[in-house]
Amino acid sequence: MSKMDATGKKPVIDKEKYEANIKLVILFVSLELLAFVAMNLGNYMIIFNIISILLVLASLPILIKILKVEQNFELLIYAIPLLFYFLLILLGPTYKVAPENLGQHPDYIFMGRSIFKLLESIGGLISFFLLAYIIRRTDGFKHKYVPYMILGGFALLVSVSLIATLYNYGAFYRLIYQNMLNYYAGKPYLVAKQSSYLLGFNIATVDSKALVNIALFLASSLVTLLFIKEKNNRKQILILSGLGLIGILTIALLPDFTALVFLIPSFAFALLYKYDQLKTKWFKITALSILGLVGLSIIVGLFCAFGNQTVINLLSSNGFTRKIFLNSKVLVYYQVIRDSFVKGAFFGVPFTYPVNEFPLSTGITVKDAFPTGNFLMDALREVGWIGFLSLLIFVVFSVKVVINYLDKSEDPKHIKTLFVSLLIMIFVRYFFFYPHALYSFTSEFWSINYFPLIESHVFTIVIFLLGYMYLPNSIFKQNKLPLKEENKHNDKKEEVYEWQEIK
Amino acid sequence: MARNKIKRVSTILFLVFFLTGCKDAVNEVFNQGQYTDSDFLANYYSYYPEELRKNVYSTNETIIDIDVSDKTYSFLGGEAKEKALIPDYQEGLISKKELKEKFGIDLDENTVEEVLNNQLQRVSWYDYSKYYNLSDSNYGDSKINDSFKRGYFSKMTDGLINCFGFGAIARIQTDENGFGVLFKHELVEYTSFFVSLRGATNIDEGPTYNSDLEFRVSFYIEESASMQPSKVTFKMDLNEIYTDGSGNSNVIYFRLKDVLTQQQLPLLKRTTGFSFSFTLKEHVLLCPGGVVNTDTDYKFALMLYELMLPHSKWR
Repeated sequence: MSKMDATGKKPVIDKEKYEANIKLVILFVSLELLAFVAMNLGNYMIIFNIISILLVLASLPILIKILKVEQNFELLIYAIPLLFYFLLILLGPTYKVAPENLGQHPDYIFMGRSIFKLLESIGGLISFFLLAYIIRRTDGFKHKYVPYMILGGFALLVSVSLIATLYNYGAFYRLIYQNMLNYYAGKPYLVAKQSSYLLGFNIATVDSKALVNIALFLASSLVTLLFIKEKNNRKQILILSGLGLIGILTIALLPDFTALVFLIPSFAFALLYKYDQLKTKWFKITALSILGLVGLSIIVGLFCAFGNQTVINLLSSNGFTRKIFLNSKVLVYYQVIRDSFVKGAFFGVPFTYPVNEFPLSTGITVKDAFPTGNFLMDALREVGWIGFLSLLIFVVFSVKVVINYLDKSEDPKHIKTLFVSLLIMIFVRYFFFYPHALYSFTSEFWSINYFPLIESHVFTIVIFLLGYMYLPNSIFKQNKLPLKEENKHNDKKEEVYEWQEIK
Repeated sequence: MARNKIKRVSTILFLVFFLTGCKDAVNEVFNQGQYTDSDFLANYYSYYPEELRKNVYSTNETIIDIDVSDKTYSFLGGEAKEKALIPDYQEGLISKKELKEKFGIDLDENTVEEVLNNQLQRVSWYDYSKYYNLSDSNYGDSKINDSFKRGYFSKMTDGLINCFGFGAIARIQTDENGFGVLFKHELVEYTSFFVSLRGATNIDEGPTYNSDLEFRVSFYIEESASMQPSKVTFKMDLNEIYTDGSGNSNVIYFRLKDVLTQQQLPLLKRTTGFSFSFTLKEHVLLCPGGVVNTDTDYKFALMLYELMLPHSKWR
């Protein structure tokens, strides 16, 4: 029954009914959208981004209500670095269209994105974060479908691509045709480097790493098997790990067994979390030691980047340090760091400068130094130090969000493990094999599809997951935690908290 | 229940092995470095599909002599505007918009005569081939485009009409017997013919000499309900073609209706294969005065860069 207003008249729009209906629509469409994004259906991220923006606009009343209840200023602090990174992308030169007078030159990199395209990508990312934030806090939403949608989308993409790959190349082709090549568009192309991939509604010939990437994300869901003894969740665990098997099967049939190394961080985390080792003294000491080593490596790396001969000679004298600090991949990072300190490179390397006015600091051309295959280094080249630090701060804040989620979320342990393992896998993969040119079959300048982070469907999933995991401290303060206990089947009971649901 | 599971698993396994049997992308594989060797003699490509070797084509062959003395150009020559683009526009094959966007020819501001007389506005064959090569010309059907992109022959359908620093990667090197190729699609409409080539020898010192040769391109028409299998061969005498100058290539371009009779024009319909061969007729060192020099071990090769049938339609 619709309510009457003060004058006794029936309002044109019943606010409560509107919110209830819109909530249902948002929940349903968001779930669908999530699966479509995961499988990059039709390569239509533009449509998914626009739909997500519209969904957020339609659910503004609900969002405002949530923010009021939660008094969530932390969200703003969390979002500021990411928003700043986005702002610099909008203003910086790298993403723009090349000025006509430059033509095509290997020393210039322009991604050629219009302002509308950039706004759509950035708006889409923000909207997916907010959608996850909203739906996590609404009653009636079946949270358990989120992992199915994400992994189901990945699984569909991988399955279709695997079938096409088997059809075109046969099983174990990377071994059978090792060191052999075929020709595509007139260019010799190593068979072991290729695979078929569902791109848009076509099966494209791509770098096999593109398929392995998604297969690995999928395979990370096998961590749920560690929780198979939990009787209540067994069915869900079996389905999720079944999807993970598709990933493993794909890697095995290509095969690309070395890629399995990338599963180690995810499985290490899952084991540590399952056996409650993350808060032990030894783990903290180990983690701090590793962080210390990373910090030291960065300092040493900076010395190398600026050509300190003493450090370089010292590192060269030892095979191990030479492999770590002076390999071809890291040399490119040094080039990026050096170039970022050149005058005028504050907001990214100024590609608009004529070559002679902006000589590169070494013989490595822009084309060879960008993209680097590391999403953070690429950010440094694209948007300069401020943008790079903004993205880095966002990553650090996100680690805090993940820790908060692990500590305080009411999600079952296997789901928490699944999501965090997936994020770890994506981070590791994007740190080493950021897929900037996976969809092109040659390395020629005009063939590189730069695939910037903001247009990646995987990055959209990451942002969604972070929105889903995000728990502001304010809600716990308000609700005087703990609100409830869960995981009664665990030997060691864990305090978990829930937020006030917005009805 | 268990039986059902076994059935499902065996169906999946069967599917996997069934799919594994097709191997479309690895029908034609080569060792790394094959045909791109530093040894000139190791790079001759001579593959003929068995189908094209059948006698039935030779017994039903139409040979057409084509005089290309005024139809041979340098790849950077600016004739593409007057020989190809404007006639294409006049025949409705390309639009004003396309002319402006791709080649900067503005027919709203200028008349056709003004464009033709404008000596400063040149369109090279290199520019032309970027848009009308076989890999890119069937925009509507990616399957047809893709079939021209796969395989060794795709070197001749990718729009690279000269070396441009790519060396052996850009061309197909062949001897007098030539090579052939068979497609999965058949030619249904065609207006013009374009081939880009040059000569080469393994003579590594001294001056370079251009060469004369008889060049043959055959079109193979498969058997159908209404037609016998047949072959149409274009025979062309090429004079003074660039030889041993890796930066240069010759372009031979003609509109088919200019060189074929009304009866001959439909003969190429339903072409599914090509073959290329040649006979060296004159080279100062290898074939002086048209006589093969048996005192030398040096060898001649034809370097083929591109075959185009601009605006052709395939199905």
